[in-house]
Order: sequence, then C-alpha cells, then structure tokens
Amino acid sequence: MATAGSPAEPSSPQRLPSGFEDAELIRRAQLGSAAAFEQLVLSYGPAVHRFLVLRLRNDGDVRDTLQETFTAAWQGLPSLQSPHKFRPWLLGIAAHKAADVVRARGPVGDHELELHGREDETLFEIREAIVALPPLSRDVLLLRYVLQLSEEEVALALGVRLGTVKSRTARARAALSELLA
Amino acid sequence: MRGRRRPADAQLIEQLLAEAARRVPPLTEDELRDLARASLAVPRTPLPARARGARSYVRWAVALSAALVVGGLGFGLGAWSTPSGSAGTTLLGVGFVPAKGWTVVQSGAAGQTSALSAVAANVPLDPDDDLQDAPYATLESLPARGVLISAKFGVRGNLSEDAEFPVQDLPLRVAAAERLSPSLEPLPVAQNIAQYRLRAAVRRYNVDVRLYFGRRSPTEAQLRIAQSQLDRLVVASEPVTLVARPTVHGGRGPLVTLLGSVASGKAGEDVTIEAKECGQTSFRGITVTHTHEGGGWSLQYRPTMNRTLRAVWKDAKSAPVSIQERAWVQIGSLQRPGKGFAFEVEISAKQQFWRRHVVIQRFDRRLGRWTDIKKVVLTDTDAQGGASFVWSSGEFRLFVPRGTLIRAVFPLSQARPCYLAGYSNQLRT
Repeated sequence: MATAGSPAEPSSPQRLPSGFEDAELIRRAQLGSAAAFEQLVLSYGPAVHRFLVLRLRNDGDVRDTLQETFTAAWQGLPSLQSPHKFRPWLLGIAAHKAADVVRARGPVGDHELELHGREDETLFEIREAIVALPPLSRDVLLLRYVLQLSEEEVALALGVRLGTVKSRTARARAALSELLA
Repeated sequence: MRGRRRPADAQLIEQLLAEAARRVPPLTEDELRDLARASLAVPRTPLPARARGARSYVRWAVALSAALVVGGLGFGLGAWSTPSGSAGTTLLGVGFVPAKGWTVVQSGAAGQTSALSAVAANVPLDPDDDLQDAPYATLESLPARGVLISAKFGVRGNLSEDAEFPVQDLPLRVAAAERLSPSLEPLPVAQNIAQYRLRAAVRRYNVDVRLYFGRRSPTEAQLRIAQSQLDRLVVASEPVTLVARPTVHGGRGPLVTLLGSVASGKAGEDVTIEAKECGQTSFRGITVTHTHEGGGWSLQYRPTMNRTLRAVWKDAKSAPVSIQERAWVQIGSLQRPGKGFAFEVEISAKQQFWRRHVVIQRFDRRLGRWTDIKKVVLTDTDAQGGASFVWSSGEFRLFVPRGTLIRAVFPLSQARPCYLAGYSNQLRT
C-alpha cells in the first residue's frame, strides 16, 4: 500500500507511486489498472520465465507459454479471491499451460530439442534431465527448488494435496539424482 | 556434466537446480513490458454480474460535470447530455448539486443508456472507480468521517422494475433508507463500511440510492451531512422519455426494447414512436403504443439500419435516441475442386455493398487474438422479389492449416454510414 502522505513519485512511466506492495498492485490490476499489471509482470515474469525454460524443451514454446500465462492471468485476475495467493496462482497457470503445450506436441514433438543456451553445458544437461522426469514430478521440483515455493504453495499451484507434493518431491529428487549420476 | 558431478543427496539436487535457475538467461525489462502489453491487448471477458460486483474495472465512464446552470430550476446541476448528432439540445435533469466540501460526478447520456449514474462524496474520488457499478476504490480508503452517496437513475416503463420503486417526491430522506446487512450484501472492501439503500420513483425515473459511511455505525453528524447532500438530488425530467436497450443491434440478434413514460402518469395515453433512418432528413411515425398503469410504456423493435428514434406524446417530444445496426455477415464453406479451402462470404442489409470488401481473419491462439489474412471483394449482389434486404457476396480460397478458426469482418470503413462493422460466424477449416 502506498504510504499515507508520501509523495507519489513515479517509479515508471506508468506513474505508479513507489512503495506499492504487491497486494495493492494486485488489487489495482484486478480493478483493471494496466500499469499495475505491467508492474506485476516485471516482478513475477522472471520467475515464470525461469520455470518455463526449465520445464519445456522448445524455446518457442517457452515464449508462447509465457505469453499465454500472462494473458490468462490478466483475464482471470478479477476472479482471484486472495491476493496473497497470487504467486502460486500464477505459477499454477504456467504449469497448466506448459502441460497443455507438452500434451499438444505429443511424444514426437516433445522430443524436439531446441534448447536455448546450448552453449551453457550445465544448464543444458540439467534441463535435459528435468524434462525427462514425469510431468507432475517436474513441476513439483521446479516450483519447490527453483522458485522456492513452500510445499503448501506448490500444492495450491498444482491443485494437489500436500502429501502428494511431499511424496512427489522425494521421488523427483531421487529420479533426478539418478539421471544426473 | 555427466561423470563430473554425482549429486548424492537432496541438498546437492537443490543446489544444482538453483544453479540451473541462475543460468537461465534473463528477460530484459523491455521484453517483460512487451509481454504485459500484449496480454493487456486481449480484452477481459466480463464476469457474471455477481462476481463483477466485487471487482468491476471499468473506469469512470464519462465524467465530471458539476454545476451547469439550469435556468428553469434556478440552480446548478450536474450534466447536460448530448446524444450523438444533437449537440447541446437536451437537458438531462438528474444528478447531484454539490454541497459545500463535496465532490460530485455524473455519467451517462440521455436516452443512450438505460441507467444514468451520479456519485457524491465528502472525500476525493479514486480515478480507478466505476460509475456504472459502485465506487469500490474510493470506499476502500473511505475514512471514518467519510460519506459517499451513489445514485442510479433508470427510466420508468418496465412494469416489473417499476414495481420495486415506490413513488415519492423530493427530497428523499436518509431516515427512510434501509440498512443492508454486510453478510447479505457484502462489499469487496476491507473497511468497515455501513451501507444503506433507498429506492424511489421520482418523476419519470426509478432512483436507486446507496449511502456509504466510513464506519460500522454512522454518527448523527454523518447522517446530517448525508441528508444535506441528498437534499441536493435533482430529478428534472422531460414530459415524455425514451430509452433503448441495447442501442447497438446485431443483424439477427434479439430485438431492441424501447421504453419510457409520460408525465401524466395515466394508463391508455398514446405515444407515437418516430424514426429518422440513415440518409433521411426528417422523422416519420413508425408505430403507436399505449401507456400502462403509472404512465410507462414499452415495446420491442427491430431496427434494420442506423436510425434515430424519438417518442412523441401530445406536443412533447423525447430526447432523440440513436440506434446503430451491425451489418449481418455470414461465412460458409464451398465444395470446390482445387487447392486450399473454398469459402463464400455474404452480407445481408437494406443496401447493397457491391465492390466493397470484407476482411478474413484467423484466430491466433498464441496471441489470443484475430489477425487479418485476406481481403475479399464482394462481387455479387442479389435480392429476392419483394424482400427489403439485399445480399452482397464474394468467394475466396484460403491456404491455411486444417483446423484453423476463421471469420469475416465487414469493417466500419466499408459499412458506414448506415451500418456498423459486422462480424460473421466462426468457421473451422
């Protein structure tokens, strides 16, 4: 929330006062503020992008899914009941959109390896190992350890039970360990 | 990495994943802004009314007029309304005259919408607010001393709606307002707000007033200043009113409802509806209807091209109302040998559109929007004997992947002046 009495210094060309907290930005974006939504994309876009880069094989898919995620977020924001759940909600959208892409590509398309950053061997190999995991395990692992969501937030994002998150995390860690060994 | 690193436990896996995340090339700020703007380009689908009530997002629609002089009434009033094409001829006499220290805004245009709105507050209004719904952004930060009054004015004429508004004279009384339970009528704001409702039929309008106070129970002083502003509510109406719902009609869509009321308030009065079609210079009577109990009247109407309507009762004429018609466009596939897919696009209207063009669009799932792919010139026209409609059509081929969703758009540049742009049915190739 903007501090009462503080001067509304523009933090961007969209003239949002500095010091706006996410809850206030989310509320404003829900009401239709384009500037607030842009600020949210600036704040959360990098995390969603990291998630999708590690989740998908194809860089074109990453860009498309990122766009679809934020388009869906803009459309769905008015129905978001609790602004403090925005991050898991947004990443849940990204996870589902990514799953849609993988499903649409089918077993053949999913094997098209067009990894951005081939020059980075470490990133390339970790990505290769991650995409070899079962989809749910992949999402759990990325949300939990790459994006540092709590187990409760992961459960919320993926629409699964807390116990499922715990068991999948353990299973995914073991599988990844095998793949990277 | 294989052979170089053997993550033995969970911690190593976490470190490895964190390292991978760090190595993802970041998006630039410009890329992120482009991403946001592309998302914003896809219009939000309106939520159902119940959900939208909590978070309406339309900005202050039309705004800010306070204190124009109303000669006949002798005091300032909120808005002069100018229906399109008739600048400054109609007085819309509804709204608030601001009390000292109050801010007043009004929205809507006479006849063009079924409801006009006005808001008065003893605090500054938030620019994010929506006059057509409720000023939630202002309510969110309403101080304890704050009072906000919102009023909606609907033209009488619909029997079932009118029944909910008891006939009253001004001024309306705060004491007659009914307190709304926070559990039954929850407000989407964190503040403790007391909410009251007052409904009354005043002259030719149904007035729905909401009073909001910035504390759970308003003080005597707040009730007093609320009354002082409510005393400045003005409803000055024409002898006969007319509104149209909706004012934009789609070719084969539902009929337009015309409704209004007359000053006598009696049943059985004759009200003549006159129309001036696109291209004509004078009004002509098209139908006569009769008022029901209370002086209201309503009828269903199908416009066939852009036109202006007015209601005439005795010697009085209502404010003119413009109704716009969308061109009716249809697209269908053809069985034609050859490469690609063959289609026909047709437009049905009261005029022919020979040699004008339609734009064929395909839906881009990635962008979530329609993109132009082809222009098609309408090369054929036809009309059935005795029919008032003319067909204009054209054939075309498309080379798009199977399953592509397409539609035809008849742009405003081609449809005007007598029609609005038209959108066809959607077709999957």
